[in-house]
Amino acid sequence: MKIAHAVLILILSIVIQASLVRLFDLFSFAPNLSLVALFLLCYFLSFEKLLILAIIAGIAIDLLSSVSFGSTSLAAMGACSLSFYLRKNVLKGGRIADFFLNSLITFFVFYFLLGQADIFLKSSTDYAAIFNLININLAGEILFNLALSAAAYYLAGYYKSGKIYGFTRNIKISP
Amino acid sequence: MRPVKRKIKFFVAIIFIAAIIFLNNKNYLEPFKNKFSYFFYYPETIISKITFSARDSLRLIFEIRKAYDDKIFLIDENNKLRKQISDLKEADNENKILRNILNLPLAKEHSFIDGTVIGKDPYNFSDYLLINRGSEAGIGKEMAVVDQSGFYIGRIINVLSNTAGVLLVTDNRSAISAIDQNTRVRGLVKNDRNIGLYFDMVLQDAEVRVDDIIVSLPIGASAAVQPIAKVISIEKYPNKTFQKIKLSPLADMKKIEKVFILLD
Repeated sequence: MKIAHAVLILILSIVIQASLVRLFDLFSFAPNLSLVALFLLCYFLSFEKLLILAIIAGIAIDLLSSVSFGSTSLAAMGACSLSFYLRKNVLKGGRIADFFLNSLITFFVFYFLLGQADIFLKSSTDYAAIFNLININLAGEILFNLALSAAAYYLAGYYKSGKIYGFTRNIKISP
Repeated sequence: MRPVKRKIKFFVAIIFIAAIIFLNNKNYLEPFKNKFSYFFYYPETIISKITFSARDSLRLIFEIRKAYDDKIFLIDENNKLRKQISDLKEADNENKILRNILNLPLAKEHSFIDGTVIGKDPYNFSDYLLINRGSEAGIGKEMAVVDQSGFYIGRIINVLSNTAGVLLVTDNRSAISAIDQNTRVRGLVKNDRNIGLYFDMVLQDAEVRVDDIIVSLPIGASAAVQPIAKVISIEKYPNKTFQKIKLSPLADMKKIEKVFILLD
């Protein structure tokens, strides 16, 4: 996949996340579309393109967010690199279980790094972000993200093969 | 690609981000951020308008029954408020007369700028709104923001040329210096683990009553005093320093579409 296409998809997902998903607000929490898009795009990109995408995503999200500038870039880069490493070295089975585990670890690590980076870049007295890790809204968001990623994974599998896969069937969508 | 090369690229990327953070802290990135915000401005304005109209239509279906119950309650409330308005007009006239006699200036009228919500923080854990007014409209950091009813909803924490960010009073990081309108007890209005607001730093012997209105004290760039929330419950613990006072925000935080930024 070309990096320009990936950036376009990502920017679109960020705008939709900020102006549609979050403003619709029917439930107390919603999925983070931009994070899911970033995570899924990582499956289609090489390592250096992944780093560029994480930096661009971070800058774009931080412009619309209240977290300190640069925190999302750091967190996204760390989480995406970890996801890449897990996919290439540990969870390389290509089964949906591997995908789920990789998603769960990546989303959790992303929020952990985001909280830490936000505290570090703002001031040492701002502990609010660390409590967000055990926040009910964040737990709901991670579950929503997992569901959305799984749906996208299924659709990607369907797109590649022309038929819907079973849960145990291997789906290779890595580059 | 060898893992060593990947490690080098990873560290180069970290150095790049560190440079961005450094430049941002020195305010060198403001022109870039302003240009980038224009890129988001128009798509966000259009999508937010579509979202609000779709959301309102959907809510209408679910809220018809609730609207009927509300109507009965509001008729009663309206009658009480009419009586209060009449009393307040009398008090206002009396206040003007007394100020004339004492040669005191009349209370200052507040000037404000209206803004429309065009987005929200992409992260769920944050209560932060993006509005379509920025430094070009005269908005600055720490200005107070109220809703159409005049209820305090938050303060400006980020300003770009054409957009600004409002940190809502319900955000985890928000702490507002406030006072009980009836008993004049001071405290801080804070978020209570995302399940509501509470009035913190109120000593056990201080008097606060249920249904009292908590108003903001003049803070930051704003000298205005605005109602924030209503007291819904009070818990006193003899072995603790402060009371646990739960509040309910007066503004409907989920339905904010228009905001007013106080310029005083």
